[in-house]
Amino acid sequence: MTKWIRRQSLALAAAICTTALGTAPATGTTYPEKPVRMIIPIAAGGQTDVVARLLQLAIDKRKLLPQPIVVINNAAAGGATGTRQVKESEPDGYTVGVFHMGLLTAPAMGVVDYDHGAFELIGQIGRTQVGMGGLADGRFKSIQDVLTEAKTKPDTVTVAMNIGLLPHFVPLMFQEDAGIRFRYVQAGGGAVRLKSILGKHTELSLFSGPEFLLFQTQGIKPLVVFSDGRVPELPDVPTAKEIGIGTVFEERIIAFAPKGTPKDRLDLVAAALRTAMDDPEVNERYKGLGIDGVFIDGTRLKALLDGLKGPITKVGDAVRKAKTEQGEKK
Amino acid sequence: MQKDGVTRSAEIAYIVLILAVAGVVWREASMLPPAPYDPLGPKAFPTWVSYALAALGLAMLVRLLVGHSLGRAGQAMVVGLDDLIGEHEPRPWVAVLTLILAFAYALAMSFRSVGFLPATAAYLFLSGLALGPLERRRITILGVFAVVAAFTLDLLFRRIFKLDLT
Amino acid sequence: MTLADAFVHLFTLKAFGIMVAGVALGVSVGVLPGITAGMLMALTLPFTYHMSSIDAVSLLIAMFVGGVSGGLITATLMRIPGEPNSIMTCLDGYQLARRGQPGRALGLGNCSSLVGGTLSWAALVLLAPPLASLAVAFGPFENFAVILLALILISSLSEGSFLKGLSAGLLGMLVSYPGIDESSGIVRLTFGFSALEGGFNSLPVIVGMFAVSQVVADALNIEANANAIKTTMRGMFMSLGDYIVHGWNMVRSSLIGIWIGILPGVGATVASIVAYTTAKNLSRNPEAFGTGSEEAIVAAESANNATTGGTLVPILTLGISGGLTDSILLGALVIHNLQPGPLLYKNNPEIVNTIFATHLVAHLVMFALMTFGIAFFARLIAVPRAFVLPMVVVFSTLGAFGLNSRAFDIWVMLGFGLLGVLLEFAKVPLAPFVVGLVLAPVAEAELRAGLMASAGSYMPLIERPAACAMLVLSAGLFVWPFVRTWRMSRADGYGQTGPEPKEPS
Repeated sequence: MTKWIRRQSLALAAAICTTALGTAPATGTTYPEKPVRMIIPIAAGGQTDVVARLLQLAIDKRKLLPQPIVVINNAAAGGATGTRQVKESEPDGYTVGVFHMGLLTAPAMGVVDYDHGAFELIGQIGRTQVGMGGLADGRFKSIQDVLTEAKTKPDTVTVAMNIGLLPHFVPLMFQEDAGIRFRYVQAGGGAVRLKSILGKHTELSLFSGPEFLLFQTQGIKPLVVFSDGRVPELPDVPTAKEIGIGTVFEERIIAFAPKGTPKDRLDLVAAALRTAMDDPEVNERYKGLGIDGVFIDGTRLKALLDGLKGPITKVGDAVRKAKTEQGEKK
Repeated sequence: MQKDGVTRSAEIAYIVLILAVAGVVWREASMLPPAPYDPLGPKAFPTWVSYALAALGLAMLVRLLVGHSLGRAGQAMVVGLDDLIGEHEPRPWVAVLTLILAFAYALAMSFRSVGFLPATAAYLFLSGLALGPLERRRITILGVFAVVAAFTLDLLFRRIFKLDLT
Repeated sequence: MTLADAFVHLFTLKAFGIMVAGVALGVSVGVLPGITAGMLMALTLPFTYHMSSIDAVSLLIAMFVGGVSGGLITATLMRIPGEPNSIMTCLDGYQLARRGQPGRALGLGNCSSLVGGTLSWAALVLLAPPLASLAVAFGPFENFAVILLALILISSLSEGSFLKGLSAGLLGMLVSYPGIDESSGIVRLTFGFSALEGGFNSLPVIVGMFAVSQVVADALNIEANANAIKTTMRGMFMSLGDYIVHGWNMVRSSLIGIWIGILPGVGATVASIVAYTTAKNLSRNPEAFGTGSEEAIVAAESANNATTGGTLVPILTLGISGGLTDSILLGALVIHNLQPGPLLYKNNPEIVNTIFATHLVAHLVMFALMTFGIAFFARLIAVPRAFVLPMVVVFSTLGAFGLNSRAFDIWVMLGFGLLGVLLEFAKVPLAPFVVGLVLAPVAEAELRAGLMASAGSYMPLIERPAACAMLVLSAGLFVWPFVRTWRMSRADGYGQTGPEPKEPS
């Protein structure tokens, strides 16, 4: 009987030890000792995915990290599942995530209950300017036309958007700042919104700088941009600031990790990303994509994003208000 | 040919299922807020579909109670369940065992601590055993096959394609 | 580089090798249940970064084409769909094979795939810009009307028991609802499970319902003679007479496939179902559908290959992706510094022409490979099922998991496998379920987007001519099977459940 108990206890002890060893974070100074997972909450092929993979390839090619990076896509729930996956991963430096400003807009929409504050921010690895525009031969020849129409006839100017993301939020911010009301129509990604405008199903939409350049030949004209100063590639387009409406917002690609990841590991990954971004080949690709290869470190990024929380929450409240109004209409 | 009793029980189970699903979805959908921009909102479609589904379920129940048959739509897509192929003994326990092993495999895959290679090899071996007579020669071949197949798949999907399997 | 140059380049050693490898891999993956061409393309994407843009594009398109076609082999020989788009081929292809004509079934499918692919190639190359303009002119109300039309086909798939068929369709619709509501960003029907925020992905559901349940069925029948299908390859090539008989079916089904390929959010699976039911509705002997009807195989396979050309139209002309495979193609283009859209035609004609050339030649290669490979694949039947069935489960699991790396998807697959078993025992048809599952979210999103634009008015459905026409057609199509059954039962004096379907031999 005792021999049996002893054997069972030994087995139990062995099992406990193995599990403990198996799940203990690697404590050696030789991080990373195994491949690092990079979770991208976007379907393979999306722009953020392309940028992340670009950097991953550069890092692997130039051995900026001793271990390879493995890219995992998890596009479910508009990215909510993917970000949640990063949030709940072990903070051992072996899981990182790459996403865009959806990280801040999703909580404002109520899709998730956490924002960038639930993560350690590694840094910004890219940025684009955004603006609003429509058909060049449509009825709006300038942003002033839009403002006049939207002010006198609220809820009539249609805006193609992608609910919960920048094409929804930034026009909302503009709307709140300008004291006007647009009518929002769900469409989807950039190309789908383009299709909507071309087919005259909607009149305006938010596009990134590079998208405007691309769509120019199809007859799309930018009417206003939401950057600090004029976008060099779109010199004739006024900024919202210029016309007196202070909306400034940019799309950013953000790398992050689970909360509690040791700072030295975060720094290592940040350094690798930064060096990869300095690579001339990578620069070429960024230029081809029309993305600013501007790296912002985690601390500065956090301050920046915290600052944006206010306007985003305000917009989230505007959406909630629209919900209630819609409910009362019934 | 399958006995009518099995069909009947399955039909009743199906009706219960769809009534339950319709009810549960209707309840959950009724708690949804309206949408900000469209009049239907997230609750409209699920609500109406669950109404329709419940109505169909009740209609089927009534038909059964009244004594009519419910008919059979189209042909079976999964051949072999209700119309056995040829003349032989059906082996329900083998089918059940296959399912149980598949669930065990899924369980193993959901625990990251169990590796893909051992889990797959074990599953292939055990499943193969269940699906045939227990002869020594067969068992050895199965064992070799299980290990080789699991190894190849692991190599291909985990190492080469870098799928996140562990 | 002109189109002619692109063709010539394709026949250089390296380019040809890459393309053949792509088609071969695509077909192999198409044969394997659970693993789709989309997954293969996603996994290969990182490797393509090191290749030239022409080679990368060629490889991916070749895989795409191979993948769409390969599913027909497992569907015909094992009744397990290698890809979701071969569900309908499972029905008739297998029955025809059981009746001693596996070669004919495979041959019909193969030739139809080639014809469908070629016709869609012609549409792509010659008509892409006007087709794109038409697609752009189709707004949310038109898209809704088209999808409603396809949804109505559920009634055609339910002849024999409308209650069962319709209920299956509605059940499929309900399964599609949990998750984030696309039109409002509101998370719904998760019942508190965070895993359901992503909803039920259609791939594990379909793989579970068809592949897993078939494995269970095979396990039940493990004592059956495994060589139920004789591996004769007679009748593999369609004669001229065959082409004449099936010609119109092929063309019609291809047109359906091309158009559905162009539509956003719908794919080859729906195309093959729509083509199948259309063929059935227009056929002279619809009762044969499901027992090994040649028309059925021709319709399903022409349509699903025709979607390959159709789906490339919005990708190339507008840069719009209609699904996973499209996103991967777009991603591959973008990472090579190529911007999809009309500028692609102007700035990078060599890429556009490579895509055109590869699309056609890949179909020819696919046809050749399948023809020669069929003899090899047929031998798989001889492999004891104790080896094959567990491998089917393993591949299905890999496919389910590989999507988003969630164990949840594996459970979904198994759960719907159980549901499939229940439905089959209860003699409830599975095809309407798939139609409801795949189409419900798109229909809902389009209608609600339309209502957002029209400020809640349903009038555009009647005011816009295309939408109105399709609504009328939908109403007609919904009623048609009822009318037909009623007329037949009046003529034959049968009871209300309609004429008894033919037993499979």
